[in-house]
Amino acid sequence: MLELIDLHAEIEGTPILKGLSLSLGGGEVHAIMGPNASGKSTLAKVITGHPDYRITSGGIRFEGRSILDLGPEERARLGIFLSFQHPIEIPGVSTAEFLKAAVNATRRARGQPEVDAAEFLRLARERMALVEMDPSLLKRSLNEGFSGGEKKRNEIFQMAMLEPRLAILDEPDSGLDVDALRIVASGCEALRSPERTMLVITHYQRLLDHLTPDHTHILLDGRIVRSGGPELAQEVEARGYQWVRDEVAA
Amino acid sequence: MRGRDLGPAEAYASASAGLSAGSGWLLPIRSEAAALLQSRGFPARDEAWKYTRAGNLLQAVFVPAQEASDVALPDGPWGDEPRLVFVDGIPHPGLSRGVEGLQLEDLSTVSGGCPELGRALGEGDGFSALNRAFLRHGAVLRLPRGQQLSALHLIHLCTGSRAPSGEGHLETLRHVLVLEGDGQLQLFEHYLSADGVEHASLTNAATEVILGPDSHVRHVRILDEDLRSLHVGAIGAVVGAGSRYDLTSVVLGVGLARIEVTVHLGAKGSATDLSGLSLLQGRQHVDHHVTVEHATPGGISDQDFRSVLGDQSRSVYTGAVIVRRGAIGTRSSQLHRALLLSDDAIANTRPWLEIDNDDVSCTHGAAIGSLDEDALFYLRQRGLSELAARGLLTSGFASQILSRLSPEAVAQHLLQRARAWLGAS
Amino acid sequence: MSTDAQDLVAERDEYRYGFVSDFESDTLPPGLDEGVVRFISAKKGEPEWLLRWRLEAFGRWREMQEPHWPHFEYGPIDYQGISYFSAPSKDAPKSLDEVDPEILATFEKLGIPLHERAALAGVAVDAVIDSVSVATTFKDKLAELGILFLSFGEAVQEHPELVRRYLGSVVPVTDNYFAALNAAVFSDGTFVYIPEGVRCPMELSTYFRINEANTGQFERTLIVAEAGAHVSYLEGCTAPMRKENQLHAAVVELVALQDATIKYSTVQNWYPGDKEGRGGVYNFVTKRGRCAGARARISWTQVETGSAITWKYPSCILEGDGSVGEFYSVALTHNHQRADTGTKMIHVGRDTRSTIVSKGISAGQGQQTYRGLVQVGRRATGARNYTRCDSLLIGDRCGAHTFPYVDVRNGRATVEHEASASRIGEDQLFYLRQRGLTEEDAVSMIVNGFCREVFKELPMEFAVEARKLLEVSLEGAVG
Repeated sequence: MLELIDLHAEIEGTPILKGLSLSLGGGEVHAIMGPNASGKSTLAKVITGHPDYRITSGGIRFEGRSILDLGPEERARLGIFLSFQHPIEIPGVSTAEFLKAAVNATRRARGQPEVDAAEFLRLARERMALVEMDPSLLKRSLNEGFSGGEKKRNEIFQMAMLEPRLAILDEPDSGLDVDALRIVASGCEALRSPERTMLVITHYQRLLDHLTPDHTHILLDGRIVRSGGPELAQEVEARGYQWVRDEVAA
Repeated sequence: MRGRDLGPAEAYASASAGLSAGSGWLLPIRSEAAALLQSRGFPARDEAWKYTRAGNLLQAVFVPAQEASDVALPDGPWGDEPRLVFVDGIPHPGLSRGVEGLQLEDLSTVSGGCPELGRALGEGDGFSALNRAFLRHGAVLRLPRGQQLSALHLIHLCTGSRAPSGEGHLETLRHVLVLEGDGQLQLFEHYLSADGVEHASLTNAATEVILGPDSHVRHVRILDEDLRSLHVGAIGAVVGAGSRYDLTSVVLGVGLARIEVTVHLGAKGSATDLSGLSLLQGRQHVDHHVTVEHATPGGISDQDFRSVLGDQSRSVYTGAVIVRRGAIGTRSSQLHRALLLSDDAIANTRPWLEIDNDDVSCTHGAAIGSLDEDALFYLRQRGLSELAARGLLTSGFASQILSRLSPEAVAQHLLQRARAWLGAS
Repeated sequence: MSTDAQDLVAERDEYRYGFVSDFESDTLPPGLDEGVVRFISAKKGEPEWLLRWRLEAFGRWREMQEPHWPHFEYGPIDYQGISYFSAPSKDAPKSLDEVDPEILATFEKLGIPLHERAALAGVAVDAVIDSVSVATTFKDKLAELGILFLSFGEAVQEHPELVRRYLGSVVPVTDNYFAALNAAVFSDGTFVYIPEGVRCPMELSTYFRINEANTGQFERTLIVAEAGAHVSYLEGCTAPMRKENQLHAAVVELVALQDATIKYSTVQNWYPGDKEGRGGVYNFVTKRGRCAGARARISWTQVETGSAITWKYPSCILEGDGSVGEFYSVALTHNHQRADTGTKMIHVGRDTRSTIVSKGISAGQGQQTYRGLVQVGRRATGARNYTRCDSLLIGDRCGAHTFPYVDVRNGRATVEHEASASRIGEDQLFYLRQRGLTEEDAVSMIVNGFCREVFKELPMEFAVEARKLLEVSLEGAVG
């Protein structure tokens, strides 16, 4: 359902992705691991169409069509969701106001009827429970003054509301304590379905203990250098990345 | 360096001599001010007026109205709350609504003088002298110790009708509000235009707030006039021990406005929170000039002024925080943000600090630019169109000032006006 | 010993550079008229165009007024009581061997490497005493690369076309009162020219010293970096202790063409006056750089610990698209010192960027003013500025004033300004003292931390000197 074909991308003239190829089937969960600065977050932003990144060659196909010419909102409406590593704070805009606009923009694009305020609130309360989020956060400015854990749970909550076909989770576990990690991971697990593909970017095995991937890939210097099953993640956890570097260099 | 521009000053000074009505004690104040205006003139090449040309407020010699025309009161968030209505600067008893037992009078009928007049606003520049040279009307409120007033609306309606000189009117107002101690007041000033305005007019309105000990004033000033109108506002507050003065200045409609805010924290534990929001388009020009003086220990002041600028509009903000020697333990923050929605808008910002003492914690900041790209991307990633994302971010920027206003009716009224503004821009 | 004498000794210890050198000098009697301007020009054997340029400046200066702004006041300056030319009297030395040993000893005391030490340090030095350049090292080596590093007087003689093209092109004669005065009476200075594509292999440096009593120092520095050239330039200043105020009114002009970089660092330690505020240098300096080509870069770094009064705003005019201006400043005022400093960043071209980091420290009755302008013109789409402006206050009689001006006339520009003023945190002090530091050492450590962002912009040797200067200048500020 997602094909990345020999993707090259740069930011302000600095190449980051250097020939990345990857194929994700429907309903699969893929984990991407890699050391800092290997290009993990860039990959997430390139798939979702961040304007700072320039694709110099290669392609991205989503459900059979190229999405390179689409803006971020058009990709989002096709069902591509990004859980941000650093969710943005937007003072003055309440979480409810923002999310209702997002849900209805998406529904309109899909030819579904819009939800009214009451229906939105009912849905929101129901899905906030999934990540044990306090409903009072709906009234507060988006992510402003949220703790690290609240921000990450808010991302998963938004995913639950927007019901994407492809969810890219960029380090949903970073900065979380054990309890928050469990909540976020089980929220993701609950949203796992044959209708939904997930691309999980992480540094650590501990998230994958809760959300077992079908495939694991190691990203190094802008390329996928190893692919395997869940056991590859365990190997990284045990041995770090140096052995991969050595093998690639050899 | 203060320059001078004597032409209009002389014309105004001599016109003020013909002003009738009012108690006798007003006369010497007027004539003294007229003499001062004549000798000093209006500011020109003055550092305080660096980005606003005083001459643009002096395009004509406007003359005061003789009587309040009969107009309808537009809808507004005042409900049944007490209000004084001024039409072209003249009190309109028929539209006003008093309250039993309240010491509230028009300046012209106060007998024997008003000792607090001039306490929160000093000699000032030529426009201040102009205000005193035409001293006649305004609300004079005295809240005795322990008294509270949950709302007082001062509503100014400008008809924009033609004065005999062929121009719009000059409206001068001087409001004096005194809290003797342990009191609370929510003060709303509305500057509005009646339907069918045809001519530019000049409003010169001064508001003095004197807070005794342990008092709290929340002051909201809304400028929502015709786009041709010219406006000079002066707000002065003297804050007593343990007292707090909060102001929000909202500017939606006006052609050119200069608003000076002067807060004197002269007693232990006095505090002030000043904020402003200007939503500008076309060729609107709004200049907020704020001075906060910390003269005694333990004062706290905060400022958050914002503007949203479309078309060729311009916002000017000068915020001077002065911390005197001996004002130890002062805490002060200052923030100015301007959101530029157009390539041709102009923002000028001067967040100034003058500190003569080491036991302080003062910050100031300014941020001028267009909408945050990361926030735009975040919203678009969630499926919002770029236009919708921009609208949401802009209204969020504005609502940070408006949503904390109370009561709800006023906040909602302004949020609605802001949304209408955004929809139109 | 009398109390006065003790004080004097104590002050001498504090101002390590306060000795008076005893070499013969050739000094013009005090006074300023057209004759003085002509005398200076003739003494330097200048061409007619330069004399006319000076005379025009002098004419304009006489019509101008001294700047007096809020929080910038100073006692009357008797322009007729100053001598406008003072030079060591021997004819210009042909090589270092001919330099008056007393002068060499002076620089030795200042720690300026003129001999082999210079080679070790890899620094080429031009030394200016009072008004005249006395020695320029490494000239030949630099000449091989086509780099010109000359006294201003030599440059006028040897490369008049270059001087004429750029002199006054960044700071016009009429720019301000002190710049006009300098243009009329400047006696020497430094000229640097880096040809296209050349990276200057060493730091270039000028050391200034006012020696004679009642003299003003009016030097001019002109640095031109052709396309793709790169140069780092250092300037240091000291002056002996004098009871009277001395006037230093210099002008520095920088021109960076396309892709060129000029980094200009100053450690200013002119005599600050005594504890009662008597004497000290009036340091009224105009410094400005022009990024004339695309992606040019000009970076000012200054550490201002000396002078009774400092008045300077090293600025950048960012004309070339994508050009970059930077201003990093530490200013310290103690006792009765006053510093009025800041910068102007004028964004003209597209995608221009500027950074301002200003750290002010006020102690005793020191007064400190930051005055700055960030201007984004209509054409400067994509311009960005970041300003950080912090004041640290030590003692309840000092002052810190901040007067930033921001003027944005383009909707696709971003300007951010942050500022703070506070004293040293009691908890920080306590923490350090609990770890065994004296209060003075703790303050010094905190102040150094406060200035770190600026010090890291200085070349190594200068950073060490700047740190020491700060420590010495802060002595007696606490307790």
